[in-house]
Formats: sequence, structure tokens, C-alpha cells
Amino acid sequence: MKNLILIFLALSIPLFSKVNEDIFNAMKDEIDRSMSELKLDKLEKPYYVEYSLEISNPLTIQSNLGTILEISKNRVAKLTVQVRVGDYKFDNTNFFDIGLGFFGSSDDEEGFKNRRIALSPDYNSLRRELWLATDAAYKREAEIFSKKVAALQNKIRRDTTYDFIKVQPETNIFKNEIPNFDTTYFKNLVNSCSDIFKDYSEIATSSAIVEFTVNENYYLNSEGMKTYSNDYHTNLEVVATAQAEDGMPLGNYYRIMSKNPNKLEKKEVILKEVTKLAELLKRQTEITAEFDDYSGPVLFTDIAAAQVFASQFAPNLVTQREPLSEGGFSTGNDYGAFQSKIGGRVLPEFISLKAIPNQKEYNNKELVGNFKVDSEGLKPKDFTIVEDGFLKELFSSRVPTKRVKKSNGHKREGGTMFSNILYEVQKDKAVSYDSLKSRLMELCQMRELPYGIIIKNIMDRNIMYTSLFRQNPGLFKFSSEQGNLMITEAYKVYPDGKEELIRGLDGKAFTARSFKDILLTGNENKVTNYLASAVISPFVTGGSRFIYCSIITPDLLFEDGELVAPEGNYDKPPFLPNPLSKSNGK
Amino acid sequence: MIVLFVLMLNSLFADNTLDQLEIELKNNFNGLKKKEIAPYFISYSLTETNVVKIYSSYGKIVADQNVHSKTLDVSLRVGDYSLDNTHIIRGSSFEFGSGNFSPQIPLEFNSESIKQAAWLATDKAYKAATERFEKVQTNKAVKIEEEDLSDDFSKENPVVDIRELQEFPKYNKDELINKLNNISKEFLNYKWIYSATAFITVELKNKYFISTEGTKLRWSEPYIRLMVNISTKSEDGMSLPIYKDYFVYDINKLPSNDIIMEDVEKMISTIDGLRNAPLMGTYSGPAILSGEAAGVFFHEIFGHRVEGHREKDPNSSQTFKQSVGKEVLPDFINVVFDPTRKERDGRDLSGNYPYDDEGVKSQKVVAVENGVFKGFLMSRIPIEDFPLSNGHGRRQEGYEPVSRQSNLIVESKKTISRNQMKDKLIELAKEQEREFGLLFEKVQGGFTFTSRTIPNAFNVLPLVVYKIYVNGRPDELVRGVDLIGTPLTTFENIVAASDEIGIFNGICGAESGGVPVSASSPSLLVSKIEVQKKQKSQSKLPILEAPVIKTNE
Repeated sequence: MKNLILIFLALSIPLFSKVNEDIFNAMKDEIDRSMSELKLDKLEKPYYVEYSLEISNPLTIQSNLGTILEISKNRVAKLTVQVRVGDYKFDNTNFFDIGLGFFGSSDDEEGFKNRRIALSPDYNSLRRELWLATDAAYKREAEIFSKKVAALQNKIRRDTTYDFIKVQPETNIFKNEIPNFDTTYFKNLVNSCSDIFKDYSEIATSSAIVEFTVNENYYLNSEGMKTYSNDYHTNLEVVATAQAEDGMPLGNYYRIMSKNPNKLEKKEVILKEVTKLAELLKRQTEITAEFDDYSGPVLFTDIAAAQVFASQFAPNLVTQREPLSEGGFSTGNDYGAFQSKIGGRVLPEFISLKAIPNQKEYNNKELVGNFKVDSEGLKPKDFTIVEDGFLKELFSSRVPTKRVKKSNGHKREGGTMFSNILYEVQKDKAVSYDSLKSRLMELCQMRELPYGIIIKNIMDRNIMYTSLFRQNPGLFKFSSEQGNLMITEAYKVYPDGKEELIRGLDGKAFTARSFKDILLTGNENKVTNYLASAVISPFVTGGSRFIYCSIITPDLLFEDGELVAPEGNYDKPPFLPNPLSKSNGK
Repeated sequence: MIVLFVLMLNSLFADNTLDQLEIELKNNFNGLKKKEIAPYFISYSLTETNVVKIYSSYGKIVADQNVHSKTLDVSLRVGDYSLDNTHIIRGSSFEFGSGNFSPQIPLEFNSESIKQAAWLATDKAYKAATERFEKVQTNKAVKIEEEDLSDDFSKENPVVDIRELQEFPKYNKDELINKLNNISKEFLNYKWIYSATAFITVELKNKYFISTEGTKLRWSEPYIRLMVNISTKSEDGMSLPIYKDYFVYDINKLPSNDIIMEDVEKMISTIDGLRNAPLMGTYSGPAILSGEAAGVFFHEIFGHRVEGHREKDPNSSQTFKQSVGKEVLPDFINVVFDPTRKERDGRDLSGNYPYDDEGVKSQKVVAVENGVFKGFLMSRIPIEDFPLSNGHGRRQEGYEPVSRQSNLIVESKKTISRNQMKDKLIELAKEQEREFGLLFEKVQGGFTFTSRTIPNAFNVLPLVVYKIYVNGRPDELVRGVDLIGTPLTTFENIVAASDEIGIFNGICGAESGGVPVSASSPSLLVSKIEVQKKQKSQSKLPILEAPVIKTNE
């Protein structure tokens, strides 16, 4: 009987056999009509209309302690309409209307961002949706345009940067063959992963989840840009939580991603890594010593090197434009460190960074941040971000800033966003793990420190919000302070080279500036695929909160880092022993 | 057809769930008993929800979802039946609790998963209970003596009833999709209909309940509802929605497409009339509430005020606290809440269930008999003179149960025909020197305030209202008003009931989440009601005409 479930699920992934020209025809006809006829009284006509239809088809299989917790599929088609009123030089965008921005309209208006529409629309049903969504978008944007004009009426405008960059229209149809997702295999795989935790009575909660998502995107704008692209991603996550005897919450994860589900690691490798995760958590619960605050050299290795770069440095590489608003209100700019730094040094001179959105693989590992066309219909460009430590170019879209006047095709799911970033390090500064460790110890000796610190994993934000907090609610405290890192695996390294597992330390004040103090790197680049938090808030863009990105980085040795024991009280551990200990516990 | 098998699978597996829950309950209860502050009661509710939702718009499927999950809810009490952690904390406008932890359990039986989930959820519930109990004891010491000195938890006899679980309804998915698409496609022909959906919910909840008092239950609750929603706008920006829904327990009893399409035609005609209907201003005078409207009216203004636990809250208006044995309605009216009933006048009622979410057998409650108030809807939160539950402790998964409504049934011993009622309406309007009376034919829902801190008012949201003129002019469809008032005054004004019954099936939302309820009533003639202007959108109609439909020819 169980086979029936599998047949059903396998059938549930549509293979998107052909590009639906009906969709483009409906978009074209409604754009033509809107550009020529859509006008309200004395208000300006739109000078630009853009339609984006995203059809996503995720299949998720979740398992707990060896059995399936939930299988869900939720195919969704979302239409987003953008209307611009004014001209390229000055239009309704780059302006934050406080009332509408924070509270939305109090009127019963049609939706035009992420509007849910038919999963397989035909010409007539789509025209209907486009008509209503365009109407609503035009009315809203025409009003915002007037508000922007009013807000500047008695101001001397100092920044005359254009609101939108003109580009040459292209037609791009990128159609990937969708690989087969073997539901039977992945159901067994997540069951095997989660089953491992049955043997660990120290672990309070655990789950294994695999998600295979297929997306299709139809894009057409009034300039004549026409694109179709489809893509797919596979994500396997294993998350577990525990509590030490002193109450300290412990959480960790193992995650691998690829585009093609058949290119994830082999099952044996995955199970080995999950066992390592369980063992690590178990060992951490057994540690009794509290961590003393530490200030000194820190070595980030493996995924931790990518995570510290991804969370503290990479978001600053995205162009951001502070929108105008009324009454001196500022929307804030969390990652603005490099907005005016082009030409300046941001890394040691032996490090260069490359944007490689067009690269599909690195050392036989798929890069999930690879994409064919961005959300504005542009093909992404590979470019040098940092050359010999000096910042050359930021990730940009068609929204210019004072310093960046061209798009390199990086509008991704709502806002400007990075994609694949590759480290290139001068050979003499790229050394083996042992050499890094020796250098770390030398630095410790110079500072009369009894030990140095190696960090091997840091909690990922996507996992924290979507899995960890939900799996064991209330156990983990949230810190919104920028520069803080929730370290999940770290070791003290003593002069004799011995590594001692520790727990209970947070990274403090690691900022983009800290990366100038990298002294050496490892000599092996490793790929970390992950879901990066959108740099420009989805609250503003209406886009996704997390976006697929890949960081290819070596281990990183920082001259100085501050590591502190977490502050605040812990919840008491559960009063009764974990019931798994009676039957299975080791 | 494969889908059907999948949905049936779970019920075919051997079901050891309840036995495993019983073992875990005993282990955790006995373990925590050794603590200084020991629990005196723990219950586990495990709800398996299998729900299919399919939405169609303009002839195409917009969403086709299937969610199948199992959730565990733990209720834990420390202290004793007279005073425990759930006691009201007075003087606190906001309580920052630790929230409920309702873990998910695998779909297939897995003893380890149940063990671990029950252990952790019990631990979290215990910690939350002991924290709150400390606050309760202090609050009791520093505040004046309470008016209602009843216990915090009623003592009920344990029940054991392990029923066969129902199979997920069998249906042909393609046929169902075609049915929905055929309905929603019709609206493409109307340029002025701005949104149109036909959707179906097919749901089966299998519920398991076990408590340290010895109650052990297992039962199923199906829920099937097909709904057609359309909306347009009038020239002045007012949104004009209308809906038709069909609730059934047996999927084969859903009406045929011919019947639904007949209703759809009526809906289109009504909404077309509405968008051109004149806007009505404020009014006070006589009115007829259709059976469906009267049902919602009673649900809002009466039902929420007889939910027993509110009588214990010093901030609640406690409208009927002193009313037991007193006349609150005309002597020809009875109001009962009957969750044991599945239908009325051949139509299914969605507030049917065999046991409530506290494991108490559902019971018929006569709230008003011959106009005299008899009693409240009770969960296991006792109130003065009502020490026991009558099986109305209900909740959505993830919430704590409180007393909620079930099938509200308004009955009248004296009835007149709808035509006679209309004549009476005209008579009353004339007496009150009104040009017209009002007929509320269809309502969208409503809301009410039961707290003392804001006026104790209700608001019923009509969709279809007619003016009935005293001078013989034809009835006139109007728009733009909400029915408002305060409960006791409005009750006094009910003067007659008709002989035909209207039914409203829906989901009621309150502090314990959304629960299925129904409200059914004869049409009622009220000598005086008040309406206020409805909130209205300020957005204009679409600038351009709807696009022309392209045909294959």
C-alpha cells in the first residue's frame, strides 16, 4: 500500500513540457492596452509596465525519528505587476510612503504584488487578472508619484540620480530539462537521517527534511523585454536541539543543497554527517566548563568561514538606495558599509572576490546561486567584486545609485541581491590547515593567550527562523544585533595542537570591517550552498525572504575576534529524562 | 483515483496511538508527581487533520492543497480543582505567557516520536503551569475577594469510548475539479464581476483524547463545504460581495451542478442589482431578519454572551449573569444549542460532534425556554451555580479549550407565514411613521464585543437588504448598511417568527481558535432595529473595461 503514496507524489511534479505562449500573448495585449489607454484624469500615464508570473511547485518530505512527519506540496502561481509613472529620470519609485508602506491601504484594493492566480492560466483568465492588477498598480503608483513630487516641492533636491536605468530589450528563453525527483529514495533518505537520533537520548528534538522546488518564470515588460526561465533546487536539512545540564540551549544542523536532486551527496556520506551532528550535540551536552570571554585570533574553517562571510560581509556588496520619504523618515540601511567604498580597500590585498552567477559548478559541486536571467529579464554578468583587496563593483539592478549607474543583472526575487561569490587568494597567503593552526598558535603566544579558537560552524539564519525556533520554541533567545554570531561548533586549540570542543560562545562585533584583518586563508576553496536572507527587506520589495546563493571560500584566519559567553538566564532542562533513554539510549 | 487510496491509507494502519499516549501520560504524570508543585491533571489530545482544499477562479484551478498532519496538544494543571494555574489573573491587561507547544507527530505510528513529543510538550506545559500558578496565588492574595467563588476545574466522570475512525471521503478528483471550474468559468461572462471563486474543503479530523482522570476517547469529525464567492463594486467604490455555501457530512450529498448553477444565476442577478442599488442612510425602525440572518444575529448577540467562562471574567459584561429564571426573550421563543444534532429540516448542521475537546460528551443545552433564560454553555470551567460541563469546551489545535457554541437552534412555538410577516412589518412601519421597513435577506457574518471596557454592542454585516414600502411600492434592494445594537434592548423587540427555517453554517473565531458552528432560526420580525452606514472603500472602479474574451473562432 505504501507504494501508492510514492506513485502519487512522483506524479505530482509537473515537468513543464512547453513554454505557454498564451501567457505571453495575454501579457503583451494587456501591456499594449495599458500603455496606450490607462490614464486617470490629469494624472500621468504609465511610462513602463512590467509583468512577472512565477509558478512554483515545491514538494517537501519531513521525517522524525524514522517515520514521515508530513508530506506537502503547495503549487502556487503568483503575478506581480510593476507600473512606473513619470520618466526614467524621475518616477514614483525610490520613495517610501509611510502610510501605505507601513499600514497598506485602508481601501478594498486589488492585489498587484504576489497576486495568486490560476496555476495553469489561459489567455482569458490571465487577461482578467492582469487587467485588475494593472489597474490597482497604476492607481497606487500614480498617487505615490504625486506624493513624491509634493514631498520635493519645497526642497532643494541634491541627489539627481535617475530612478531607473534604460536597457536594451532582449528576448531570452531558457528552458531547463527538469530532472526526476525519486520520491521513494528521498523518503527513505530522510527517514534514515532522522532515525539516527533514536539512539541519542541527549537530543530533545530532531527532524530531517528534503525539499525539491521547481520554478517557472514568465516576464514581459513594455520596453519589449521578454524572458522565460525555469529552474529547480534541492535542499536537505537535518536539525536537532538539546540542552546541557546547566540549561544552555544547543542547536545544530547539517544541510546540503544542489540544483539536481541526483547530485546531492551519496546517502552514506549524508548519514555519516548526520551521525557526526548527533555525536557533536551529545558531546556538547557533556561539557561542564563555562566559556570565558575571549579576545584574540580566530580561525574560521569549513562552513563557518562561508557563514561568517555570508552574514557579515556579503550583504554589504549589494547596491542599496535609501528611498526618499516624508518628514525625515529613514527606512534604514543595514548593510550599507560599502555603498561609497568603490575604489577603497575592503579586504587584505591578497584577496580578490569574483561574482560568478553564470558558473554552474565548482569542483564538481553544483552552485545553487547560478541563474540564467534576473527578475528584470537581464542575463547576469560575471565580474570582479574585489581586486587585490580593493572594491571594484557591487551587485546591481536597474535601480541606480550615486556610485553605480548600470545593472549587472542581479535583481533577484524582489530586490538587488548577490549570487555566487568566489574567493581568489594569492598563493603565498593560502596555506594548509596545519599551517593555519600553527599561525594561530603563534599569534596566541604573542598575545600570551593560553589557547586559540577555531570555529567550524555557525547557525544559519534561514535554519534558525524556519526550523530551529519552531522545533523547540522558546528555548533559543533571538539576538537581532548586527555582528553577533550564534556559534554552534568551536574548539579551543592548545599549544600542543590539541583541539577541545567547547560550547556557549557567541561571536561579537564581527563586521565587514573585521575582514580587513584576515591574515591568512586555507589553500582549499569549499562550496557552501545556502539560502541567504534578502538584503533589501521583502517588506519593501514584496519579494522572497530567502534566496539561493553560493559562497566558495577557503578557511579564514582573523587577527582578532571577540567571543563571549551568552548573556541571560537559561530555561531549566526538562524535569524528566528523555523517554528515548529507556529503550534506545546509548 | 490514486489519490483516493492515499487518503485512505492511514486509517488502515493498526492504530496503537491511544495506547501509546496512555503509557506516556502515566509516565509523565507519575514522574512530575514527585515534584514539589505536582500536576493534578494532564490530558493529551492528538488531532489528525487531513484536508483537501481546491480553489477555482474563472474556470481555472488557483490552488489545490492537501495537508495531512498530526498535532499533539497537552493540557496540564497544577494546584487543585478549586484553585489552579488557569485561574483568572485580575488587573492585568496583557499576559505574556510562554505560549502553547503543540508538536507534530508522524503520520504513521511511531512510538518513539510520540514518546519524545509527549515528554517535551508535557515539560513545557508543566513549566508554564507552575510559573502561572505562582502568579495566580499572588494575584489572589493582593486583590479583593472574587464575586464568583466557583472552582477552576469541574469534576467530570471519566468516559471511555473508542470509535471506529471514519475513512477520508471518497471522491473523483477530476470530477470535482471540473465541477468547480464549470461554476467559476461562468463568471468570465460578466465584465463587472471582479473576483469569483468556487472552492471546496474536504476535511476529516480524527481525534484522540486521554486524561489522567481515566477518560479515553477516539472519534472522527468530517467537514465538507463547497462555497461560491463573487464580488463587484458599485460606482461609489463600495465592495459588494455575495456567497453561497453548501455544507454536508457526506460528499455524495453535495448538490448537483444544475442546482448550484441555478443558485449562481440568482447570485449574479442579486449582485447586479446591488451594484446599481441606492445607498441607504441611517435608519431605526422595524425589520425582518431572514432565518439565516436571524441565526447569525443570535449567534453574535446571544450565543457569545452565554459562553459560560465569560461569566467568571470580571472584565466581561456578564449580560446574563443575573438572568437565570428570568424572561429575556418573548415567551414563544426557545433557544437551544445542540451538538448532538446533525441536521435541521433536512440540511446538515456543521456544529455536530460527539465529544468536546475536553473529552466531555456533547449535550443538548436549553439556554432559553419559553423566553426564560435557563443556563450557559459550559466547558470544564465552572461558574457560580453551574459546576459541570455540558460538553461545549472546544478549541482549534494549538489553543486551550473554553466554552464555545455548537448548533444554535432558535425555535418558535408561534409562527406566521413570510407574507403575514411582511404585512406585520408594514403595519409596524406605519405605526412608527416610517416610509418603509427593512428585510435583511442575507448576511456575511458579524462580530460582537463582550468586554466591559468598550460599549457592549454587536454588528451584523448584511449583504442583501430590501426596503419594504408601506405604500405598496415594489420592494427595493438597497446597500451600504450594517445592523447594530445592544443585546437586551434588541431582544425585547422581537415580535414574531415565521414558519420557514434558515441555516448559517460557518467557522466561528474566538480565543480558542476557529471551530465549526451553525445557527438556524425562523425569520424574525423585530419592532425596532438600528442600522449604521457601512465602511466603504474609496477606490474607483477599474479605469479600463474588462478585456474582451478571446474565443477559439
